[in-house]
Parts: sequence; C-alpha cells; structure tokens
Amino acid sequence: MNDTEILALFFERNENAITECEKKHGKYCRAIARNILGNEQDAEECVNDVFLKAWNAIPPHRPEKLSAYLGKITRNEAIKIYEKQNAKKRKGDNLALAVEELSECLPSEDITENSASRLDFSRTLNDFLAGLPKEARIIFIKRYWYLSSIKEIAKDIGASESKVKMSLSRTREKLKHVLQKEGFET
Amino acid sequence: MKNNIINMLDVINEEYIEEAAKVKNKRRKQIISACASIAACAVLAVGVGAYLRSPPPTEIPLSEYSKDVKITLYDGEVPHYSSFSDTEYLSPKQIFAHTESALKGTVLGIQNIQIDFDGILMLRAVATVRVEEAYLGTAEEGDIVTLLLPCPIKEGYWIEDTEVLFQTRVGSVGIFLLKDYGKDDYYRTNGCELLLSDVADYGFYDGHRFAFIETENGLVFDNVHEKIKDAKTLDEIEEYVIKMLK
Repeated sequence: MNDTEILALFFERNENAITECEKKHGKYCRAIARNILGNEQDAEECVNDVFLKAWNAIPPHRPEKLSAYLGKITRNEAIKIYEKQNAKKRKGDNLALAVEELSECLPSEDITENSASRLDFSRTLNDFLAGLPKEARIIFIKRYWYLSSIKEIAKDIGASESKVKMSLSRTREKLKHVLQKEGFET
Repeated sequence: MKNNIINMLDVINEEYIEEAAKVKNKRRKQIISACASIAACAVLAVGVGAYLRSPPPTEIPLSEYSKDVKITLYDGEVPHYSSFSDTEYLSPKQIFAHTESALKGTVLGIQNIQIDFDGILMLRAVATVRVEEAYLGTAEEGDIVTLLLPCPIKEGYWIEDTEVLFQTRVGSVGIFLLKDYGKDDYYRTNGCELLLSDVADYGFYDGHRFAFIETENGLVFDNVHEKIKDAKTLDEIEEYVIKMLK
C-alpha cells in the first residue's frame, strides 16, 4: 500500500491505517528509536506510541512525506524517553556523543523557544545543507538527525570510519563558520 | 551541555531526511564484488592446478552482524533443498504491495553458494545484474546490483516454487520485483543469524511471482499475472509493472 492510500485510511478513521503504517514504516521508525534508545524493547514501545500519535494528529494534519513525518515523531518521542531514562549523561551512547560533537558549532542560546530565531536558524541550516556535497550531507544527517553511530554510517555509505569522522569534523567546522557569519553565537 | 541541541535539528528539511534514509549498506556491494573476484580466482585455480587436490571451498567474508553462519562458493551437484521464500497466495495487487524495488536488468553473472547454518545447509545463487531501468527504489540505471535467488542455478534442474527464477541465466534480461535488504533483514535458523545484506543487495519474496525473464524459449512469468498472460515482450511487461506500481 502506498503512502497516499495509507493517509486515506487515516482520514477515513480506519484503524487499518496503523497496521499499514507499521507494515511499511515500522522498520524505519524502529531503527531511529533504536539508535537513540539503544535497546529493542524501548524502541518497540516508542514506535507503538508513534503510531498512536500519528493517529491522533492525522487528520487534521496531512503530512507531505509520511515516512519523514513518522521519523520526526519517532525521533522526538525517543529523545523524550531517553531524557527520562538518563538524568545523567552516559558515556558512549549515540545521543550523548552527538550532543558533545555538536555543542561547539550550534548556537549557544536555545533557539527552539523563539520562533523568529528558529526560522532564521532553519533557513540558514537548510541553505547550508543544500550547499554541501551530497555525501557530506548524508553523513551529517545520519549522525545528527538519525543519531546513527560512526560505525553504522561507515557501513551504510561503504566508507571507512575515519572518512566519516573526517567528513563530520569538516562539516561541523563549516557550519560553525556559517552560523557565526549569520550572527548566531556559537 | 547546551539545552535542546538535538531538538534544534528538527528544522531540517524532510527531503534531506529521506535522502539520508535511502543510503544504507553500500559496503555489501563491495563484499559481493570480493565474492565475484574470489569466484574468478577459484575458476582460474581449477584450470591451472588440474593436478592439485580439490582446494577447500572458498568462504565468503561476512560482517560481524552475521552469527555462526558460513557461506562458501558452490559448484557441486544440486540436491533437494529447503527454501526460505514464502508461498502463500498473493493477488497481483498484493505482489506489487510487497515490492520494495523494481527494476529491469541484465544478468552479468551467477554464482551458486552454500549457506551453512551450523549444520543446516542451504543452496542459493547470487546474480549480479546491471540495472537497465529502475521503476521503484534507490537503484539507478547503470548500477550494478546483486540479487539473492531463492534457488541454486543449474542447467536441467526444475525446482519447485522457483519456476521462474531458476531459469535465470547469464545474459538473461528480466524485470525483477524485489525486497530491499537493509540492516534489519536477517534470516535466522538453528540459532544462527544471517544478515541478508551480507549476501546481496536485494532478494525475492518467492521464486516465481516476482520476476519476468526473457529466456531462449521465450518470456517466463507466473500466470497469477493474468492481465498479461498473452504478453510476448518485456515492453508489455514493463507497461504492466509501471501501471501496477502506481
């Protein structure tokens, strides 16, 4: 079943929408949750919540890209669960390491609360990503959006771990420079 | 630690999120290339070393994600085997709903392999295919991809439930409806785990309903695809596939 048909089920309030979502996008969502939570059981519970949230949001919301939409909900839910479970930072997990790596290049103020700053940041970041070579962009998104490990990324793109680290380091440097130029304090 | 640092990246465009999701397990192609090189070397070794004793079977390297599985190149007889394809009834609509990638391709090479799940042996084949047209999925025209066939390929053998795919030969052109092998696709038996992407880029749901192949004896495909039962060319099949994928 394609995404348009699945969305139609949501709009008809047909509960098969959840079954079809699970069939088509379950694996994708579980992989995101697993990257963040690090274990299968938590990932499974998280993904069940994701489909429920999607059920409650659609309609009225009609996502343009269903997989990315479900991916976003999964990521947010998994981060919430992670934060509840981890009052203290654990060394070696994907999320903690990604935060550590990004802390030097992203804005120091919390722009998520300020809609004007958020819009500026969104525009700057997406323009920056658009200008990156495709491989560098994919590596960046896999690391900091999907929160995949360096090892997994290396496997996915068919390169060495050192190449992935090098690419991330260069992209972070460039991003820091661009954000500073646009007036964000990093 | 800065607050909400990860949440800031929530603003990333969905097209980039999708773009990154599509790239997975590229290294598997290199593994199969290695397999093809090993196969070529093995053939050469047999030719040159006619007087040597049979060498031990050539083992294909697997990733750390596969556990207690050994895969070797196989050139022996083809006895009875068990299939891990599914043969429940599927309508054409369901067949296309199960399809994750669809492409037309030319078979450049075929290698039989033996998979050893700690004593349980299975024979399969890996076909190397050049993509001529891509209808669904991430493959692009000109890509070289590998397909795990649910049967070994041996002239003169007829194998149940693989009526179409067992007719695959080097040089065949076919349209293939495929399962993508990603990092979560495993075959598990006898306490062993095989990460399927260690073996090939794609696989088949079964051996007869998910392929349309041009052979010396004409076009072969399963008669479940009733609408095209009289089709004589791959162009007619292509038209049907594109329509069904919509």
